[in-house]
Amino acid sequence: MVRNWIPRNRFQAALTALFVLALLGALLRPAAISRAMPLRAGGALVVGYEADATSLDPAQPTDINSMHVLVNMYDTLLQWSPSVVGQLAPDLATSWSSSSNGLVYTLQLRHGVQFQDGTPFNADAVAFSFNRMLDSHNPYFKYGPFPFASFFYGEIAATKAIGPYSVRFTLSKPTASFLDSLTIVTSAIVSPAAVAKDKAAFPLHGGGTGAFSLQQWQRGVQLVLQPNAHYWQGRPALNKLIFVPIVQPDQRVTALQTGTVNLIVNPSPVGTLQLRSNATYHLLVQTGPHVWWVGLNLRQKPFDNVLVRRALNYAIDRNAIAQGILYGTGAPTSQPLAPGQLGYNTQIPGYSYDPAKAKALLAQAGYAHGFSTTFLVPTSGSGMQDPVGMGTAIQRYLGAVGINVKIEELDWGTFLSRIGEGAAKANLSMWELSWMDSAIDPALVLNPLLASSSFPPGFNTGFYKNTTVDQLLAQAEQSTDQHKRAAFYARAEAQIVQDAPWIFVDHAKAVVVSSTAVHGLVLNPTFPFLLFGLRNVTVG
Amino acid sequence: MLLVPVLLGVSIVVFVALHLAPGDPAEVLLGALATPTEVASLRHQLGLDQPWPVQYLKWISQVLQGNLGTSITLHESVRSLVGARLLSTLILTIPAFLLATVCGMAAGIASARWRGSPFAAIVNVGAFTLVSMPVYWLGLILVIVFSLRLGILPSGGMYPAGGEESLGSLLPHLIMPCLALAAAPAAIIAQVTRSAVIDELGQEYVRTARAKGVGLWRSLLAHATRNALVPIVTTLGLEINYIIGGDVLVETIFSWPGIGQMLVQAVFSRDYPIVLGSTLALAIIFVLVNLVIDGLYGYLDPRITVRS
Amino acid sequence: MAKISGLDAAMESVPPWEGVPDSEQEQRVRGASPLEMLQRLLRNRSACAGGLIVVLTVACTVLGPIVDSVDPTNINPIMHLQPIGSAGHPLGTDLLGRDMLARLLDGGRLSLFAGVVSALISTVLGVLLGMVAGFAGALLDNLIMRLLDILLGFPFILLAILIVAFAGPSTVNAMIAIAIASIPFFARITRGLVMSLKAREFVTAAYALGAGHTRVLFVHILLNLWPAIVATLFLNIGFMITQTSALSFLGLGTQPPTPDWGTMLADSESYMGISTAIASLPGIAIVVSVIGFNLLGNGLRDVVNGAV
Repeated sequence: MVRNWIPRNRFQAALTALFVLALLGALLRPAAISRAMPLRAGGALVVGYEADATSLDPAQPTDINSMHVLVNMYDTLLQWSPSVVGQLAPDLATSWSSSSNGLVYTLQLRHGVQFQDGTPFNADAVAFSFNRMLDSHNPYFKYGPFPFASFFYGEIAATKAIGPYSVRFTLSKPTASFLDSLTIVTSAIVSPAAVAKDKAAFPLHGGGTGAFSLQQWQRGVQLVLQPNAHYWQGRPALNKLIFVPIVQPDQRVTALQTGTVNLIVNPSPVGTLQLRSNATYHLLVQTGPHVWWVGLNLRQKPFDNVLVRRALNYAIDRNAIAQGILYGTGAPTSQPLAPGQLGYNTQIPGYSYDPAKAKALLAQAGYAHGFSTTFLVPTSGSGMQDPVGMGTAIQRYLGAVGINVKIEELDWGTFLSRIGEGAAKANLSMWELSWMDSAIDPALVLNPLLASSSFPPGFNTGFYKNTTVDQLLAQAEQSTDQHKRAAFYARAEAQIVQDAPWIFVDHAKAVVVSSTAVHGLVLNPTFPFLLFGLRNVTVG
Repeated sequence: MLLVPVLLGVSIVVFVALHLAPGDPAEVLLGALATPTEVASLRHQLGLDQPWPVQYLKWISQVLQGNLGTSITLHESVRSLVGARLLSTLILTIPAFLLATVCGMAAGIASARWRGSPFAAIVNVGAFTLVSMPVYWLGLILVIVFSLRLGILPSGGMYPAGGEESLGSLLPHLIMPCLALAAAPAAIIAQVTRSAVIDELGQEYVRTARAKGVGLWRSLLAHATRNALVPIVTTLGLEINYIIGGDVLVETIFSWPGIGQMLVQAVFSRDYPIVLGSTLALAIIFVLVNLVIDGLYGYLDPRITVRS
Repeated sequence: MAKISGLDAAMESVPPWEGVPDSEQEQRVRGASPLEMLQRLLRNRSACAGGLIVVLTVACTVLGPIVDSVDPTNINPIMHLQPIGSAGHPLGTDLLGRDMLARLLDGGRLSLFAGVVSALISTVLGVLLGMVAGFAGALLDNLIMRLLDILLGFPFILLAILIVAFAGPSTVNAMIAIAIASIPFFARITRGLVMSLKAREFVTAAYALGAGHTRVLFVHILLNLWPAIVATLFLNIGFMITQTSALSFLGLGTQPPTPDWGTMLADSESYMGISTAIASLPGIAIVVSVIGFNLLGNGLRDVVNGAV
């Protein structure tokens, strides 16, 4: 009997050998130290996020997934208060002041903080972090690219350490949102020693002052962080913080349900529905500074007519989209700023769902028989929620009032190219887009998107122009009084809503679901889209 | 050697297609924040503003020195990324291929041996159905049944998160993707084997052997197999292409960190170095496998090497 | 004489992907009349079953939308995921409240169309190339084969992804992409067949009677070739349907709101855990139609090869 199992010829032998080799290969995979699940209190938090981080150098990534990891590995100079909306709190900077002309900001830094590699945190490290990403002559500039550097910090003319714990930023023009922008993780302070040592490999390891440091990173599989015992806010309670990339939203839900992970971000809307009704899961949902809209080409008929644009806004049922398509993960809106943002105008009645009124307005504008148009829709995209579902729904609603909409679907990369060309050059009529306001400040929403100074090549893709709005925005930019600024922005909002340059749809809500074994998880009230504060979480 | 021109050809086609495609890596990186000045500056930093032939020649000279460049989106050397991912893909595809071959051949031989019986009928119908199923659907069904409903197998990934990386922890994660990938090729191999074996069993020399009293199994294994192997080996060659194609879909469904998944993402984000490096790696494997199969032919049937 | 790669030699008798390769005995290309072949086909029960499935599927998808007047694109989020057998929705509704039956029928038309047309394109171009290569031999043959090797050096799905990324996603582009990626297989088979036919007596006779090269190739050889080609074509429609819907599944094929089975399958992934029955419908539709085409194709191939 045994004889039958001996390879009879070379072919069978080869086959057997191949099989054995494959097994050996699996066994002898490059050194992975065995890691048993920790038994100490504090536990291990396993986060299922949307895609693997791309880099651990905070100035490099442009994707939100990397930022979930980075905000736990690094600190910034300022941060948003964990309790009061819109309030800046000290982080690595303890106090700050600005000159009366708004061009010079001086920050005092925290004493006694160390980087994870043991080197001291000081003003030189701050200057280093900013100069390497802004100054093309800096020796470390070549380890970029740093795509967000000039967008958020382009107004910085010079960063200088004026004392061991004192740093001065000199701006080229007054920028009311400057302090807000110091909360963005792109400006997190990196260890100069680590950058100098690792050079091109720095993005694979990182090195900051944050609550966690890298233990192991298997790209595409898992990113394992370990607590920083010397963290200046106290050692985190967790034993391990693990990020597991799961690209499909439905699979993230499955992973949570099967216990593969104990926390997920952005489950599929349907998944949210399932999990919401189940008491073994803890759901955190919160509207954040984000806006989703349909852009219109105001230089093209019939979108040049304000009556038509208003009609479009009355034609769609935002509530149904938010409930039926987004399953409550979006907050319907008629204005660009989100509730909680400076300048959000609670007095605006907004656009209700009124197809009859829409038809009446269309008739008034001379389009009683409707018209045809093309609608550009990306298949995915950061911050786009459910782009195809929402686009299809909008198409149906507009169809119901006589507007024949043809959808053109593109992958995200191609879509961005077309949008980037501007509505005229790319011959766009309607397109959907969204905007995540990482710096919170309304100047970084309204100016780039709706000021006439931002016509293409800027981001005001649809050529909206209203001189009153422009004036209000400019005045708000000059002022340093937050109350006055709020008033300016609120008036600008009211005008924008009246002019209806967009079809306003919703603000995304951050959705984070965890098993009930996870305690202490709180979303930051100002910017709920990032997983701040995981250092306060315990599992078990 | 044919290897080099084919690989060159492959790389040129990929390069041209990538650059002809609208959208470029700088735009995707910058996302909605991409103004022309930002994009132009980034393109310059990435070396994308040079004419195509120059970029291509630069890439080729790098490759010949063993350097596949650096990924634009992942900031790591393409060689290490491709190496790690390729290993993961091989861990998935080699067992799938072996499973398909072994099971397929066994089922085919058995259904030839017991031709006409209900067993053979079941095998044939089963094989037929498996061939007709899209591999991504099969994968989804497996996840629903074994992960969600029965809860006995993990729904994705290669190893348990935060857990050990060993053969023991790999196997539960490997089972479903492997099955999904192997199903259709196994079915095809079964059909091919069955037909080939039936033909051989009808041949003169087998009938002679049986007349002399040699048992059916013995004549099958000792004599028929080698001749029957020719069409089977052909099919194996075709199955490689099929498995690599299905691999991309399976990796997506099961979040398997393999080269197929990385490749698809890289095409969408226009990460040229990764697309070029991965395609090259896959093309090399494909051509090598075909060379092996050609060699097997020469061994199995000496008549095939020379035609007059 | 030149060494012919073992792969090529054996491939001349192997239809791509699905299908049983012919043994040496069955390699004869019969010159039976169409009527005889039809009779043989009708005697084959499984082929008849396949043919019936195909006819029914095509009839339903073509006639269905005329008979059943429900709009497949009508969104009604409140009515989402109604179970099978609900009033007004015999097969339930999907996540956006659209009627599944209407979408299946409408989508079927597009999916079947995509499968058939890409198979046709692929066959025509592949056969043409194969005929030229097999007939001309020497340098031209070598050149064509090397070009096809380049195409083959790609993982199938990657080639399709690249083509669609370059040309933009749409049903038509997905069809073209899959068709182009499949050309090498048809070309190789045809080439093999043509090479064996070239040596036959009727060719020598044709030349003796004064026929030129073109006539010999496109009339005499083609006449003997076409049954095998038709069989291969049908065997591949099923694969084409699966592959075009794979591209739709990845978001590179049909665009909304037009339904096709691939996009429906991708959509269904999100509610597979909740309403498995409804979510399985597109997959079942694909499997059934592919089985039909495969059965028919198998029958045709058997007829062509003289096996009953």
